[in-house]
Amino acid sequence: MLACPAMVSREDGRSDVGADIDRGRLDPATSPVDEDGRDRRGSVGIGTIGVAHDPLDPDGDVMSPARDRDPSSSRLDRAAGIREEASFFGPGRWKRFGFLHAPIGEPVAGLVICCPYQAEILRNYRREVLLARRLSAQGIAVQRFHYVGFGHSDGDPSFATFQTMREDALSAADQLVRATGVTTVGFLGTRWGGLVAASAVASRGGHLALWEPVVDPIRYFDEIFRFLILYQMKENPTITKSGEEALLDRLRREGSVDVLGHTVDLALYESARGLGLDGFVGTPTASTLLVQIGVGRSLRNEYASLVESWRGRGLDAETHVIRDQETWWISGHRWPIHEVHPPTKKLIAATTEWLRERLAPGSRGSR
Amino acid sequence: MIGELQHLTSAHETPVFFPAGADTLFGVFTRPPADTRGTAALLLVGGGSIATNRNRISVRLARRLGADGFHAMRLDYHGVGESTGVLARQPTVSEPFLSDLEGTVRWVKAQGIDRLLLIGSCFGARTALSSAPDLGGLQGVVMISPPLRDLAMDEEVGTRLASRVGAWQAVRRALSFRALLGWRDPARRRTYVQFMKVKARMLWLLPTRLRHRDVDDSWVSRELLEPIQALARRRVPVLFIFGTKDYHYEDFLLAQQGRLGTALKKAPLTEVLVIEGPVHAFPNVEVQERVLELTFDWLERVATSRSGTGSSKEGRG
Repeated sequence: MLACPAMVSREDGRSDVGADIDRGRLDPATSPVDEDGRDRRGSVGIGTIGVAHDPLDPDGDVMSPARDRDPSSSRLDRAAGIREEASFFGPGRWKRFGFLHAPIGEPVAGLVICCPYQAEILRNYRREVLLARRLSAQGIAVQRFHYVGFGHSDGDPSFATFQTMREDALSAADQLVRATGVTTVGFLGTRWGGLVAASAVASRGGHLALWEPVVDPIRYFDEIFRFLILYQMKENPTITKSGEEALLDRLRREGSVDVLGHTVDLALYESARGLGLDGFVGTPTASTLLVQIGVGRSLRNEYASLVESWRGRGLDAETHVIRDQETWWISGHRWPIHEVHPPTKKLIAATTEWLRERLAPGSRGSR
Repeated sequence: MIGELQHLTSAHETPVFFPAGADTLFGVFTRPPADTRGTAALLLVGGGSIATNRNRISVRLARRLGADGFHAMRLDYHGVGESTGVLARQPTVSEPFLSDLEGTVRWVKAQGIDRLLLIGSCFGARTALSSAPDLGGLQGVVMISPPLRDLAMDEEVGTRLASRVGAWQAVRRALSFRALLGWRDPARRRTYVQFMKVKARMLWLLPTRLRHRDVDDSWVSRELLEPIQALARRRVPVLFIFGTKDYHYEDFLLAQQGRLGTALKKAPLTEVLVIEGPVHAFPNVEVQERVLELTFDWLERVATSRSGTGSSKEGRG
């Protein structure tokens, strides 16, 4: 069991908090977002310019749609045997941006990819695209999506919560099933997306693949703040480490903290309290792959004890270590060209093999 | 002011694939509810970034522009994001992605829109500028912290260090334990080599410069100078946005003592806006909003009057 202070574990190994999310009961009164993922607070900033508007008010600052929505576009890659289709989808006012990668023929199974959070989205983007292309060429349809408030999707990050992200993932799964007719759906998540993917699997079952997942969300935010402080100390040596507490205060006071041009928002921070990866991985999870991406040669203690705990509960859990220097929150002058980057190639090959064996055991990989 | 503006949602956007060179690019096209401008803004991100750009700056800009009657296109370069292809190497400003921009322009013009605005940051600014002189229907170019030197992205650090650090200090630093350890790291090794190349060149040219009291601006890219001159001749408005802490701005100030200064004097429709702090790579949310605001104000002025001249409240560089 992980050291996740706010998490209450049950005998079956799942957290009560996770179960509450499954039942949609987590902080219903205080959640800033309603069941449809809409903001309850009635006031949403556009970026940081402080323009207040009611997202539920069609006469507010957000303009009403002028035409029927079915904006999608697709491409066919006969050489690879895949088709790709981008669209805005989902129920409610705020649409999610989604990207479907499917084989030209009938898919044998499906996978939903849950991307990371903020700066980490950019770092992982191409890996996810490459994995999706590889899997779809091998008969597994893949649905990728951007959380509401992020990427090309509608909305604002300030009203995204863990619950809205989980709804986004489940909505993406529905979209995948609707578009392809697949009956078997697995989930893959990277970093923060690992938590989201795990919570989606906790809800609807399936196989779960995790790339360098966040284990404890609050510790994850602490690490982001620590990283910001170190960065600021480098720029301005007068800043002290006590600034970490000041950042938390600012988050509580102002509702968001600017971390190198990305916001960390209070709604998400608060909504993730008490959650943990371990709490989501339980009975409905058919099997789990955990891939560590980092400089270490062996599995870090944090992951090792997590996997040990899963296996102790009789779960099928596999691990893989990919040695790579990944700087999740820093966009430096150099970044790998993933198509030719050996660690990425290994990562995608290992993940594809595992997913193919689990999602489509009878099928043959064509590429 | 931009803060009082409405903005669109995805209801007014279409994800599109289109051919560009040997690849198929992906973009999101924003259509205004009422096409009051007949103009499309093409948003070109820095090398290595995806169409949304950091903290969705491109999404925010496209939707605000759409609400004000502009079309907008944000795109993934080849080998990036959702587009096909593989990058041959790290993007270098001396090798802008011209075929990506050509493909985008072709697709946008096929929608019946002939008036274009180019908005680029860093590598994207240089790609915009390289294509701009020959682009029909061009209404204006916005360049956010464009590099003035023809360097690969990973050569910038070494070059910048070399121009800041004196010769004696350079020797002392080179012999430090940390620097010696750094030779084991390929990225640092490249930086050191670039540092030494630039330093050696500076020392080599020093006697000549002292003798002639000359301004050495040979490092300013011709691919930057010539398009600026060409756009001035075509009377196309150009906006530069820099941050006071951008090393591209340091270069810009230095370069103005030479041929760039002469070129800008002959370009009355060119405006330079400078924001306090760093702008390059949009490192904080406040700067992002300020850049969006300045860009939007300028575009509106240019689109309505085509007379974007004069000084600015932010300060003219």
